[in-house]
Amino acid sequence: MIFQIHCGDGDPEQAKKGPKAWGSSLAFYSPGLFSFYQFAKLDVKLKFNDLIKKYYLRLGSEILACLNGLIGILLLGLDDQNEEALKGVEDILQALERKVGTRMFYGTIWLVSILSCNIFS
Amino acid sequence: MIPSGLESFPIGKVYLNQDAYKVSNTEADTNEPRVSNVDSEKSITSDELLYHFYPQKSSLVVNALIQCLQDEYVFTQRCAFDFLSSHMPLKSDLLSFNEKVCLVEAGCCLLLKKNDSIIRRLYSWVIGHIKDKEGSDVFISVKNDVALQVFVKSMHNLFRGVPKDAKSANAPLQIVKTIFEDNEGLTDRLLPEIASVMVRYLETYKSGYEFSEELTSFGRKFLSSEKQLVLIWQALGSELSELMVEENYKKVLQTINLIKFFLTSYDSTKEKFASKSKYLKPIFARILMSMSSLSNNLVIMENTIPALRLISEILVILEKEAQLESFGLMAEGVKKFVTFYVQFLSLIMEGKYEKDEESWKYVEEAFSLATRNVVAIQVYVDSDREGADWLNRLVQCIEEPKMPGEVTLICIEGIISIYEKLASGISAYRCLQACIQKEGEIIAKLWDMIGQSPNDRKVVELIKRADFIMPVVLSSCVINKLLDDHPPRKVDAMNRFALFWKLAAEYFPLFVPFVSEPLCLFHMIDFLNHDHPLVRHSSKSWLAESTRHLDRILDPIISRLLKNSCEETCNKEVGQLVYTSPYDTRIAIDAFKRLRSILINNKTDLTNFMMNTPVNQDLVELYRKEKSRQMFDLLRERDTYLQLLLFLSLKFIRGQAAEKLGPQFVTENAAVNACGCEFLELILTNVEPSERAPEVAAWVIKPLLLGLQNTFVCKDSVMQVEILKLVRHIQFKCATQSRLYAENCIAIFGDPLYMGIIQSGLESDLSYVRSSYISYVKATLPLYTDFLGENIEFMINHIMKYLSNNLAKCSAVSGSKVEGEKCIANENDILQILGGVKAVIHHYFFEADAELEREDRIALQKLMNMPSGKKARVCVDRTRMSILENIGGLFINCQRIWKQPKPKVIKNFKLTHIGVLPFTNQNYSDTLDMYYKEQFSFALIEKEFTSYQQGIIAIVLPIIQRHPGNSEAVTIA
Repeated sequence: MIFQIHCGDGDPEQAKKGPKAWGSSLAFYSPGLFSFYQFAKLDVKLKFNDLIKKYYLRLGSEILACLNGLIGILLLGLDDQNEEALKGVEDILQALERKVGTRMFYGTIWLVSILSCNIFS
Repeated sequence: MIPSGLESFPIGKVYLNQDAYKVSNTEADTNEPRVSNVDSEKSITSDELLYHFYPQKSSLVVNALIQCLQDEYVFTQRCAFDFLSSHMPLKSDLLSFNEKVCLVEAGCCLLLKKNDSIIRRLYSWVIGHIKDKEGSDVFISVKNDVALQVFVKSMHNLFRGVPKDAKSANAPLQIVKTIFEDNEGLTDRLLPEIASVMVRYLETYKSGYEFSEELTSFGRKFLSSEKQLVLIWQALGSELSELMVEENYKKVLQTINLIKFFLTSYDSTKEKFASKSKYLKPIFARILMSMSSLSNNLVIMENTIPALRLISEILVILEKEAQLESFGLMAEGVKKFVTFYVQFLSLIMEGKYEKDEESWKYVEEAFSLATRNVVAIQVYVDSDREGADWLNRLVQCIEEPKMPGEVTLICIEGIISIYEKLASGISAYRCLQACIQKEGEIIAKLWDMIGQSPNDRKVVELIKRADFIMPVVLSSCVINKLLDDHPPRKVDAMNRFALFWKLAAEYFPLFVPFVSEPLCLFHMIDFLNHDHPLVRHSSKSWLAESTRHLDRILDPIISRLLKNSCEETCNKEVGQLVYTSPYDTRIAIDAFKRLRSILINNKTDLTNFMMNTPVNQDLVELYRKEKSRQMFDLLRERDTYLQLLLFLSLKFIRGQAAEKLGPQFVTENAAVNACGCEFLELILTNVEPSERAPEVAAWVIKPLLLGLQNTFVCKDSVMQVEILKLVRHIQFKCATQSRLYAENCIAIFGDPLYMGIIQSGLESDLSYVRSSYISYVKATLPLYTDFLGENIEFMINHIMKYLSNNLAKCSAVSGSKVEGEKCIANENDILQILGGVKAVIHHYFFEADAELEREDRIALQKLMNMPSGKKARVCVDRTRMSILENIGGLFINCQRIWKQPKPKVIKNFKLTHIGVLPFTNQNYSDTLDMYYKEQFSFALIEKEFTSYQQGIIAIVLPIIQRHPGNSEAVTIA
């Protein structure tokens, strides 16, 4: 609902303004959100994926502000056994790579592994 | 910033499937990573790969991987290794050399955790390529393999860490140990590469850290196998070699220090590791060669000191090796070192070095080490060579008067070392000895340096070594100086000797100078009696200064005396000691003479020393070889010099020469006997404190009495008198109010031999022997009263009997020659005997009473529980009676006395005597009457009496006057 409010879902005026108007504040709140992903149930994860596809991938360069956290949780999602969820994560990652560029994308992966090494475990 | 050539890279193209970008491992022939892109027709270059997939590689990717390797979860570590194996093999160029090293180092740290899967992955990543399909090693040298180079470098880095505790200090060694244990085949290749760094690490933390001890202990355990030690030695040697080729002498010095450290601290398995010299020799030869360059052509000597020290230490190890064969490198090394040394010596002789204290100290130390080494390395030089330039220069340097004392000393030390090597049987030094020739002058120079050099200790030490190795040269040199005819020079030489003596005792208390060649010492002692007062004074000063170490003076004399033994047969029961082969009597006489000189000149100190100092072990050993020691049970464990000297005196007093050895030796031996007596008397006279004299006397009483008895058997008239003098000395000079003294006297008088000895003495045909014994008896009369108790009567009876027998004998032969001159009995003899009789009578009739009242006798009585004065008086009275009864018999057979012309009878003063015919108590009155009537009815005028008759009158008259009641025997009409 917060997303809906922020993104102006149902409000064509707000939608027209685009995510750029509030992208920076999204990055600000995101760390609180990401921390739930790892331990979330499958249906929540699916919703989560949708949320990312719908709101985050729409962001422009503002996404860089929360890229570390986003990639961090997505990498954890690669371990998922559910095909649908896995597919969703892979799609997001591909989309992200496309969005930020390969160098930035892989650079963030290396950075994430320094910052929170135990994400691989 | 995008690298050039990447502008056309399709941004946004997805490369998420990383397997597509794995570096191919199959193509071993190329180091270029091949990248394939399944999605794209266009393959990307390695630069593109790096740009897009490993951005900020050095800082980001490598750190991320290290982070993963160090993760707390094994799964992460495994993944990281899997990634490294698949995407970053060490042979690829994807990572730089240093990045690889960092990663491998991080990987190696995991070896400590001992997780098999991790260790397997690590080895697979780093050294997987050196194993073939069957798992056995494929030989690839470190030089040709980047992975191994990385591995080595990472191990180097491990040793460069700064440990904080014992665990972290041991970690690098533990890691290396695990690697070598798991991959034995790699030890040969990797250990030499890391040896230097590892030893340096051990050296850095050898001390001063709380973990140093633990690290050293772990290091020793790790490096305990011969194989590892050999590899390390090889590595250190080749490192030294390479550095020398590079002429990097700073590092050469560091490596030398490292070798020295390893040699002294780690390679402790000297006995076990016999083949070490094989590896040490090349190192040794290289150091020898580097000397000149190390010192920067002899300019900076302090740089060479560590190398010179190391040479010394290696030489010590190599010396133990049986085979000292030379080889090419070594011969060259020796040659270069000798050249270096000659140059060094030349510069010193030319005075090129500054004399300021700091730099000269280095020059001096370097020269000392170099000289020691140049002598020691001669063992590697062919023994057939001719001449040695360096040695000639060395001798020249010693002769050069302007040389500083330290340099001369070092040179002399070199020469002495050569003699020491020669003495230990090393043939290589034989030709060097021929080169020296002037050893006498060199030693004289050394001797002259006593008191002149600032380093007196060194001078004394060198003289000590010279005394051990060339005693004859040293002794003759000192004697030459001492025998200088010019008194001031002589005194100077003596003062030098005294100084040496003092310093030697101070610096080397266990060293006894001139033991093997003590002649110079003997000269010093002989100077105690020199004609020149200055010489005497110097010698006495020397003796006075040596009081604390008198053993150094006595030992050579005594040892010479003990060594100067001969074959002898002993009979303990009879007390006979007979020499069956000759010995050098001169030595014995001189020895006693010197001991006497010392004793006379330093009575108090010597007696104190003798009585309180245990005998040195060497002398005890010599003493144990003495066969005659069983005769005199004197010296025991920890006994003093006094006992030993008493033994020696007694031995030489008692020793008789067998007749077969000839009259000359017999005469010479008699002189030795007399010397022994004289010395023993001197000892007894000078015992300090005098209260201890009886104690000393007690040791010698029995042997002396036995000896005295033997002198009568052997008819040795000189010793009959001399030993008696000693006995007399013991009884009178060693007299104190002590129980011991009384016991001594009782021991003498109560000895079964005593009466026989007195009899033999009193009845001796020889006038001087007899007179000595009469004199002795006269002197001992008061002691009989004191110590004989009830036996006085018996003793006096016998003495009177022996005297009368002899009187008769003398009077019979008086004035005539009987079998040679020695039997001439003259007036004096008779008077002597009469004097003896008179003394006995006088003592018992006029002095004994007073004697019994003597205070000291009363004190002695109490001490010894002797008979009281009353009992003693009874004994004396009985003795008197006995004398009176026997007095007539005294003059039996005294024909000579009575055959004088009859004197005129004057007035009423008549003297009658019995004599001429034997008489008995029964016919006593008749006999008296008969003689009175027939022969002796004449009156004697005093002035007309013969001297004998006067003597008899002097004896008898007082008795008659005092004891008229007992004058039946002697009547005055």
